[in-house]
Amino acid sequence: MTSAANPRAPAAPDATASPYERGSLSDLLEAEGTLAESRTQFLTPRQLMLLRFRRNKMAVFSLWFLALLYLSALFAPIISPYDKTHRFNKHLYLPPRDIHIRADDGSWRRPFVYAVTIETNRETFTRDFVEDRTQQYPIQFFVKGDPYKLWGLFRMDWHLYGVENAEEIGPVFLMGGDKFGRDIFGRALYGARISLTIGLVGVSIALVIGLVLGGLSGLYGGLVDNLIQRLIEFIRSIPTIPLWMGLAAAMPADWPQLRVYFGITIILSLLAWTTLARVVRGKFLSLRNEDFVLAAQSAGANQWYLIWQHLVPSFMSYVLVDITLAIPGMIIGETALSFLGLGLVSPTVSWGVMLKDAQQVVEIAIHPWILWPAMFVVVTVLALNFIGDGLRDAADPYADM
Amino acid sequence: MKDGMDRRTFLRMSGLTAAAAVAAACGAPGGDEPQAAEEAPAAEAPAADSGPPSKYNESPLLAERVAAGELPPVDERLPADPVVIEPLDEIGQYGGTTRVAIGNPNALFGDPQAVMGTELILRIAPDFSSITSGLAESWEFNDDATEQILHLRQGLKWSDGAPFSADDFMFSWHELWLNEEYAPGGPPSAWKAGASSAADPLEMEKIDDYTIKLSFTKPYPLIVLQQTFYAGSQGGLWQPAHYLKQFHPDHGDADEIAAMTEEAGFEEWHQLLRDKGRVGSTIPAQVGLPGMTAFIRVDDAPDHHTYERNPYYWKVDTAGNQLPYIDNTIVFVIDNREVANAKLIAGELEFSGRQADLANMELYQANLESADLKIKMWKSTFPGRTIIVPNHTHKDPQVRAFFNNKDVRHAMSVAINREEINDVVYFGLGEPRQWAAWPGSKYYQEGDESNWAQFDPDMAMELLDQAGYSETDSDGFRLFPDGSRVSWIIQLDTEQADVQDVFELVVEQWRAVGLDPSIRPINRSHLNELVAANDMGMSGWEGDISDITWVWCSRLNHPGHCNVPWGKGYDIWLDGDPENEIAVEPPDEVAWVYNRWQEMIDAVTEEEHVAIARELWEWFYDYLPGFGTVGIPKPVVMKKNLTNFPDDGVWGFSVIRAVPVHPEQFFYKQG
Amino acid sequence: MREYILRRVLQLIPTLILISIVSFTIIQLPPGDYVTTYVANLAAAGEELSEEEIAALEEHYGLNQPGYVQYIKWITNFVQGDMGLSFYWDRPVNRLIGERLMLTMIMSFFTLLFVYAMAIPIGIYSAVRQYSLADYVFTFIGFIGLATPNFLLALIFMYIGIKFFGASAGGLFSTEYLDADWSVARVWDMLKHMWLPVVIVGTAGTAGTIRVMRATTLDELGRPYVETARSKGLREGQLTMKYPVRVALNPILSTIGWRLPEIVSGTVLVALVLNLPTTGPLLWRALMSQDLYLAASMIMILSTLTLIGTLISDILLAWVDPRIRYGERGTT
Repeated sequence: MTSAANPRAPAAPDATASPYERGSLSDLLEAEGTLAESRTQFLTPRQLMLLRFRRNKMAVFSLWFLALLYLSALFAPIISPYDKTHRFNKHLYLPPRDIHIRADDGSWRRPFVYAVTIETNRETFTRDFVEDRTQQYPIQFFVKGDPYKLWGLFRMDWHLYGVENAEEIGPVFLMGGDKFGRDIFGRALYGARISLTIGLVGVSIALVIGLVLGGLSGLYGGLVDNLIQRLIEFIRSIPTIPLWMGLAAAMPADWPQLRVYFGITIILSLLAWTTLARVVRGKFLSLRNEDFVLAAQSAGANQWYLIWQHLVPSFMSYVLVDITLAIPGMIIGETALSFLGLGLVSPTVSWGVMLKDAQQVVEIAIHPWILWPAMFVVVTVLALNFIGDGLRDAADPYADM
Repeated sequence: MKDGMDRRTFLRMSGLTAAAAVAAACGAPGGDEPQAAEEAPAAEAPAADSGPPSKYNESPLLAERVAAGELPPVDERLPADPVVIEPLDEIGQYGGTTRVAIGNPNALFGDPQAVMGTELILRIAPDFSSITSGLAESWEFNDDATEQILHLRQGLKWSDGAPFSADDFMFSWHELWLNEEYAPGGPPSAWKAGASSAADPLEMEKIDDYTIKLSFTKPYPLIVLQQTFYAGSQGGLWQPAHYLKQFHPDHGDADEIAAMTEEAGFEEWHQLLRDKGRVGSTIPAQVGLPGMTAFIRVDDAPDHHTYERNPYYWKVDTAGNQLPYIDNTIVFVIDNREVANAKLIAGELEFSGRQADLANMELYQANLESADLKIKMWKSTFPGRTIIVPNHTHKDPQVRAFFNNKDVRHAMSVAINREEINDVVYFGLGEPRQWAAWPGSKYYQEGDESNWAQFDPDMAMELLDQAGYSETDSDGFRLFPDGSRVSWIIQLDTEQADVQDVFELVVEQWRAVGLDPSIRPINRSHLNELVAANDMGMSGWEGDISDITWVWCSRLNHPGHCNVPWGKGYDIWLDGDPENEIAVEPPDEVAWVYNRWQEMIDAVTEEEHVAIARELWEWFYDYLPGFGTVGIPKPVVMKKNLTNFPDDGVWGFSVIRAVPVHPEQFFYKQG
Repeated sequence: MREYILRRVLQLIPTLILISIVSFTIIQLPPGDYVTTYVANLAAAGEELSEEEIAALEEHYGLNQPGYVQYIKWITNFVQGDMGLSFYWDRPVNRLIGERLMLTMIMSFFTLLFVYAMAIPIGIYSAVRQYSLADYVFTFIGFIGLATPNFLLALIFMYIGIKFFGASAGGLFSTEYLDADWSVARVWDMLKHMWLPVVIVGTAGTAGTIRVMRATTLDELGRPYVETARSKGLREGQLTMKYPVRVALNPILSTIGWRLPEIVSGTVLVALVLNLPTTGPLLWRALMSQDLYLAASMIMILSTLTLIGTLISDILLAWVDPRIRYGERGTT
């Protein structure tokens, strides 16, 4: 095996049995640190991890991609040419706009679109899409359009791109429009605000519960541990869908959407914390008997100091991995809840809400661009998975599974 | 009149449902509808003579079984005087299988019934102009309509060959509906005078094997409507006594019943009997259960039910062919509506009516050739015509006062841009329509559908200002007297997609005049629970059920009817329970409506009935408890070669309950 | 070891009791009960019931009794193997589950087979060739199933199947085999319908297994004994198959127990979209209509199977690795 194929090969010759078998991160970092002292002696464990993470190209790429997505969500009102509720009644189900840079006579132009109209055919009850190739409308940048309040603070009305006279000639829908004539691309960005944060907020809640209960479980053992273990076992044993339904039904019918959003986040995190708690507990248990902990204990270190200074940092990387891998579950969970009619609903915009509209054969067959939000979900979940895998490889190449 | 009724009785009867205009309104072809002609080819009925040249033809499927000795010859199976059905377009060919889909395994309403038909005591004519004979050949009332005599057809047989007679009625009524274990709540309201649950159940008396007398404590002429539309969820007034008796403790062997109950996993005999006697409308929904319908259930799997032609079916076509033409029907139980759509375009369904909707037109059109389908555009009283129902007895006193203000309701109605709804949700294929009597029904008058149906936001603003909601907040929304924003929750049934779409637009249009409601889609049973507890804010429903002839569930001029009523609190109060915590004292006119409604049901003559109904409608157009939006056409999709299905009609409860299209004469044209 | 098993089995009892209570109450959390659903559906069909009739229905279904009475009645019968009556189907729950169980298990078996057939080779390969293009490509394919909401995937595949492969829409049999007796032809027909749900459900499950496989193999590849073997001149291919893979298969085999509930429930969402005659849609319909005994019994069965599955996995793991007996277990 070449060293390129096996990145940990250099570490192997010097490694003693104990760090491997214990699978403990700090020991491992120590081992690596000593072995490569000449090269990396000034690298902190965190830098080391970063170094290893960067070797995974897919993970790095995913990280950049995700950063871009979060930024786009943040600036959604600017990037999307129209407001998320702006309906173009004359252009329902507009297919993604073709952006041309070459006119029919073969001359090159700045990017433009042709005027389009949609006509209802009263014979067949279908709608015909008509492109008027005599009228070209250039795509304009930084145009004035629907007013909005960026982050609820700044009143603005300019958008990254747009086209003149959109009501008549058809709006610039990069990914097409939906049944109400709204911009799918723009709505997907707005939707990202909900869908991407549901994962983050949910995971944070799960993390807090998981850390506390997992920590208690691992630290005290005995009865506390037993009770918490039973609780976890219990939650995990109930099938997801009835649990969702029961919890979703417990939300009063007159709740506003914002509260429903938090309710759903809590429902999703209620299922996720058990995994984290198990990880935390496992690490506590295994670290409890580590030399450095025993040493600190015998040196009379305060227990909480010990936990905070030594235990938590040493398993934080594992937790990070699990967090990264828990977020996709929540994003998918949000779409599933919407599919079942238990989640968020219009006029709130989320990927789940948008995908609920795509749950029809007619959309897949006739208006397949309605499925674009699914691509957002897929790509995001993939990215998070790759990042999670990258982190795992970086933090813990010897994870005991 | 061919039924031999006296003229006055006929007027009273047919008048209630006569809607001659329907035919014109629907553009139904004038003279060539299938007629349930009672006169069989009378003279030629030498039933005794069962020589080889049989008088009637039968399906090859049955001929085989006759040849194998499993069945008696067709002439013996048919009554001496079978009902003759004139096929709509042409005499059919035997054979074929019809596949349809349903969502709820218990509800054979809709497509299964649309392709298999149903058999009721009385039938409605295809053009809805009159009531004709069904299982009963004729009927008559006494002068004050407190007694009805039903004359059953003679010589009819159940699908197992047993004779059909008055005993089947007597058993069903006395030993099932009046049995406190079987029906602890007593018989359904349909079989109580005035269809009111507080009234006494009817009394049934057998005069001879084919004659029954029903008596009521007060006039109940409208029972003929029940007899034309209502089969009940657990069978109507007649059930196969000869078969079900074996499960009834008064007739069967107690030990055997106990053993069968145990084996089937039930606890009580009546659970077993209910299970064994399960019908969907009138079609047997249980293997082994004899039926009178054209098809009977022969197999029962978790995801589909199989039906086969009834060998003893008692109708023939004009050429003497025993009906139905089609041999088999398969009903798929499909929880997800989209699977039904997929099956349709994959060519795996022969018919889709109830679930076919405008939103899928492009899908159907794109697959007409590959799936060998055709579409017939009917009118619809039923799906898609979203109605908007505010709760006049809302628990929040401010919202209640708001909805109770007539000016507010008028304002809300004219603030709705129905053209826009039509364009956006229904591709411009429908037409704006107020919640009103169905054009063509006898209750309808010109212009009914346009009361307060214009789009006039300025007028809406003015009316709202007048009503005392002129103060606004910084975002331009109107304020309640206590300074909070005029806002309420709209709870919608998640199963009705276009209702949600309509409301999304309506909410936007109301926002434009300063009102700020919000939508919360919920599960249907949850919605029902909110309604029962008077916790509904506002809701909507597909279709207002102001159908051609169907008056039972009419939420418009009754505050408490149907899934989303506008005055649940009023209804509880008026039902005689003012102490109930959700009861709300109604305004005088609502109380008047409530009582007037019952008077309309009880009216003995047609003129009186229609006059009262009209009075209620007039009141409704002004009081405007709720709002209508758009009336739309209804696509009915079927295989290209399905023949004898009417080109035009009105899809609604009248059709799907009474099935006047005679599915037994549908057939698949070969070659 | 025996003591460990005994301890774990005893611990199951209180959990099971708790689960039975929760299974029963969770269905009653949503407002209303079956009668409400029933009445709502009747009303939607244009039929009104009077207060007396509704009260009679409540009594008929025993829903007018206090919750704990209903619970005790249900659980006593449940323990004796009688799961009560389904309101919605008006039939005994045992019969309803029974008639769907066999097809569900056949499907789950094939799905499991598919998952392992896909995931194990991909997992091993991407461990051996970590960070190679093939690693990325295979992992990507493996993850697609995880990343796509599979109810959507099901609908898309179904449509593509219909339009381009002449597949049929939903269900497990063609019309001509719907009611036929079992025969080779019918089995073949079923297999022709089964691959689609198997692939859809399977792809969602592969990602997890790929990850486990890849990580464990990586782990094992770095161990000293592998280095020793390598230094003794064993070829890479042999080396990989000889030790690490064998060891790495352990966690997968020992998590088979976890699959137990899946085998019985199938998956709800995909089965719902594809209209499969399996137990998943039955559970969904029961929950939607608040069909008390059917829903509670199914939740109870599934929960119990999960617990038993976990127990089996734990016991297997403990048997493989004694340290686990003292409470430690790796998770992902």
